[in-house]
Amino acid sequence: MKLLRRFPLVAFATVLLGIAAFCVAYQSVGLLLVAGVLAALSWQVTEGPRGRSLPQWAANVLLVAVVLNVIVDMAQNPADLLGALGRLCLWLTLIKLYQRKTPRDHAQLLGLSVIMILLGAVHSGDLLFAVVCILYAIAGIQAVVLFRLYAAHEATRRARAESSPEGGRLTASLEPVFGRHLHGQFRALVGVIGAGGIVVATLVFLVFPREYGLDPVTGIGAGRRTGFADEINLTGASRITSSRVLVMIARGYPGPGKSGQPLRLRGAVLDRYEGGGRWRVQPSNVRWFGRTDPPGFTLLSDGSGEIEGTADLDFEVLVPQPTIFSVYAPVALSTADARDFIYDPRSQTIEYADTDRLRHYTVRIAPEPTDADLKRLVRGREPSEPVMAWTPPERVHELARQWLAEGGVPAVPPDDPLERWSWNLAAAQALARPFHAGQFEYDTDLRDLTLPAPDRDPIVQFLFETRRGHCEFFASALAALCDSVGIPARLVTGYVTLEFDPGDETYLVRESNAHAWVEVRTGPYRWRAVDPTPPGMLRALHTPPLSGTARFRAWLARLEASWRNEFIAFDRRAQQRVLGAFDPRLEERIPRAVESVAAWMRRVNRSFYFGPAGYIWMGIVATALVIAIIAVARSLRRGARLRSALHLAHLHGLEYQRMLRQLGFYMDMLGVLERHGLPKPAWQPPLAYARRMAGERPGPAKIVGELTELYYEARYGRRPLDRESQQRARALLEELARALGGRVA
Amino acid sequence: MTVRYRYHLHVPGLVYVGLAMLVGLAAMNRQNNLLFAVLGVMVAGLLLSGIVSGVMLRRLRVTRLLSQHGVVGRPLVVRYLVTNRGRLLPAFDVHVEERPVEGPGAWGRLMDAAPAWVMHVGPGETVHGEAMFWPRRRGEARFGAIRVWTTFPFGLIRKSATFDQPQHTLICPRLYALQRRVLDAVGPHGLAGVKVSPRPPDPSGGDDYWGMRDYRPGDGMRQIAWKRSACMDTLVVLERTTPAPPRLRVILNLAGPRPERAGPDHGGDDADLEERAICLAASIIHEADHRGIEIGLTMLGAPLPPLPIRHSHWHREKLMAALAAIDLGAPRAAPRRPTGTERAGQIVVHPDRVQPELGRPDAWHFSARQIDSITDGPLGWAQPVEPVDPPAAEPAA
Repeated sequence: MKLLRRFPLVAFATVLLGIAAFCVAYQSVGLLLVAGVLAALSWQVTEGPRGRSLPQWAANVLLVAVVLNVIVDMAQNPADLLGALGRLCLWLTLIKLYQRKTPRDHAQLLGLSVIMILLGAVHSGDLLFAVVCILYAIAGIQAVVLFRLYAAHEATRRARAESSPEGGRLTASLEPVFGRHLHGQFRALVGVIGAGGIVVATLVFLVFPREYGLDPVTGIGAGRRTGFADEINLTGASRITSSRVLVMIARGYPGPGKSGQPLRLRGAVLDRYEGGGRWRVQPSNVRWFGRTDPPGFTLLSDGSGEIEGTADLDFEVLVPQPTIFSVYAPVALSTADARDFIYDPRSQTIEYADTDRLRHYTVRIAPEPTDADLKRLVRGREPSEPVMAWTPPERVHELARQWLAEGGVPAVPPDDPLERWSWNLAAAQALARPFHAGQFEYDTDLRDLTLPAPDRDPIVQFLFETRRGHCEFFASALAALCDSVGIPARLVTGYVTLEFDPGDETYLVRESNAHAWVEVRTGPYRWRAVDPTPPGMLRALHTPPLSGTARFRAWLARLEASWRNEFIAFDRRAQQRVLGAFDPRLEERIPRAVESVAAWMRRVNRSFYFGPAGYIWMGIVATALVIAIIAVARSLRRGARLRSALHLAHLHGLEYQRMLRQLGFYMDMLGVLERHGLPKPAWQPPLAYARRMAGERPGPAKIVGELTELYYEARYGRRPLDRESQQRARALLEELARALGGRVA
Repeated sequence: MTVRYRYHLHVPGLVYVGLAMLVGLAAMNRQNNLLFAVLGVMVAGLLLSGIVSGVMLRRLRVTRLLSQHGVVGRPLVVRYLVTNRGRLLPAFDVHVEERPVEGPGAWGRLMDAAPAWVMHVGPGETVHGEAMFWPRRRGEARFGAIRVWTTFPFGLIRKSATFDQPQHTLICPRLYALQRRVLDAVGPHGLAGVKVSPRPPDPSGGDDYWGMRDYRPGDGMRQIAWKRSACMDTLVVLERTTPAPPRLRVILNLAGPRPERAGPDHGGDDADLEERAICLAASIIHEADHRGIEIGLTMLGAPLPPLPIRHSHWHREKLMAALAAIDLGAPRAAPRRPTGTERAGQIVVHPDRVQPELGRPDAWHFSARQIDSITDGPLGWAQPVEPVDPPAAEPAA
């Protein structure tokens, strides 16, 4: 009995976890607080000492209000249909929690919580959501199993009361009947069921067909979100992401040390300003298509000589990206499997060109390359000059000259080429100094910023009006100022991180570490990074918090990354790998079988020109086939039973087929009689059985006699029954079933 | 015992399968691994639901323990021995119900039923489940197969096992609380023997010496002849004469309807009145047996020989069984006045108008129409007992 009394509490906990999971999936802390508090209070209100519940009329009013609210919500935000549906379920759950609860209501509550979990699963892939889901599953198994017992007890009690002539007043209360060790065996059985469920669910999860290249964030191939972008639009981005999702883990680079120099990973070089705040990668016709050759390194240089003083930087990619990141200057590339890539010697950036997901790669870098090294790395090409497709206003020139003067750098570049490279760097650093000096405000949230008019450039607006922006504004402004005084400068986007784990000697790269800075040409092939973002702000943004929980949070982040990498992004390749671990043959056979079925379906669909509807047709045909197979199996089974019951084993050929077709009615008759407690012994001939029936049950015996005559006619009459006789047999059979108060199976 | 196992289509299961297919489609469409995981859990739930309930039922055996008779209006508790022959797996949520039986005497025609439910049977254990039946009509109730089913653990697949166990029981007529004055009134006029006592006579007997016999378990200490026992080296007891208990013959007139009726407001058709007459006769027998009166039964019009006057539990059961088994649809014989000079009181119960010629001149006659006035209502019902007038029996003489 204690077990049954536990059910409402377990069900309540399950529903609470369902609510929490939905709120976590939608990352709505406010909703979690409100709904969680209301749900928690409902236990005290309905199950507390006073045991009050919401009257039905009040529940109806609330229901109408909730439905109206959801309709308005859906009208305002039609893209978030599933979210609105989930919120409807959530409010319905809260209303029901405050009502009196019968087993039916408990079932509805559990059903609503399942729907909320499903909608959450569609929306989110967060580790926290998964953790809540696991807790929900643990509580849910117990709740559902207990619900069976609870509902059965209530139903039996109600049935007993209803069967009583006095409406249960005379009936003793129903005490559950149970044996010894109830609680222990219940727990053990639930444990076994849970373990079995995990095994079966894992198998289904592993073998279900997948596609290639799932994104660990969304689970879908498209729509990557990493913080990094290979283009910039200053009029579009209003808010820089502050997501702490891990994107990469880098090993092999020395820690920032006391100097606090960050790890600066170059991703894309934007050397074309199109005006209007838009930066792009300049199209290049000197790109080199390469393929790695594991386990060795594939050189990015022309291979004309050795580059010394290199270091290997190992990357573990947690979120797939189309770019291979590297510290300046990349020398060689290595991957675990042979992969295609594109190397742009002018910008010294590497683009990933394969379809399969890249999980690990190693880049050999030259931190201090000589000019000769750089010449090899650019494969003899001249670096492309940045293109500024705009005419900077005069006041930009004036501002640049003013800042150069303030920095003690001559405004006119020297004529000597060597001095010119030095001047470039000094001038760029002088131009960056006012940005560092606090004259400009660094802000990642610019949603309140008014967009410039179409004829105004966002850089000009930033420099002279708003003086507020994030790294892209700072970098763009510095590049524009450099350009105005003739310094070749280009924008670089990538990641900057200071989050170094000395234990593992790894750098953690997160979405929020995405950054943009400027590279200034300081030699024939050399570029130097100049970052206009205030260093203090850079450290504040990209340094991990130094609280006591930082290590735990780092561990949690890795866990989240592993979760996304191994579970959310579990694609066909990972599936093959896992299956191959069990049996190497499975690695090839299952995908091949799935692929061959899919190819066959595509081929059939193409040959009939059905289009997308062809798959629906194939589904219908497959269903019809399954039904046909079941029908054939039933027919064969019936034939076997006929052969056994009517001793037809010695017959063959057409005669046997005729018997199978025509004697079915007699076997149906025997079935009807057997179901009503009148089985025919196997040894008894049909005629003797009919006579015995006449003595025992005169009513149905007459019908049995007629059917027996028809049976003898068909069986030994040496001619088939005509249509009328067959119809007569069918009618008699139904009459017999009616007379006995049953039906023909 | 024949056992048939079967899986049943179940609406919640079908809904669940539909939902699982939807989740599968959504997972395929979105390639969402969380949805794949949910689908895996749903498939696992479906498989486990079928396997666990199937394995559970395969090892269950159910035996019906049926009492020999029930009484209309009183709950008939049918017990089931549920045995789990498995060595590891316990059985949970076991429903036990009777399968419908066709033909005359089917239990469904005689009573309403509430199925039994057993929450748990451990491996190797046997528990008793009990189902409550409420008999509505008297007669022989036939039971056929017992069906055991469960939807444990998730309620998705219903599995059943049917055990053939034909049995039958008798449903006795409804008993009424006969007013004490009825038999008190009858006693002084015609019951032979000693004074009618509400208790059975003292088994130790009267005062006169009859003989000696060996001791039998149950004999009182005072009955033991200690000296004689010491001489014989074995326990012997004194037997004394026993006073003859009062004797009563109940005559039930079921000779068929009479042409003249008692009146327009007779309150029921012939069959109904005859049923009430049977109930009245049963109530008289019940009360008389309770008072220690030896009873006999004669049914006029029914092909049943007169049952002798006896007093024992089994004799009472025999009389009740005879009343329970009366088939009012069977052809009737002509009423014939009982002959013989039996030394016993006589009560004649008529369905309708009293026919004095069917009893001895000193017999008491009751009509089924009087049942409300000479009884305090049905036994076993929680109805308030209202004060009633003295019995309105109609002495023939």
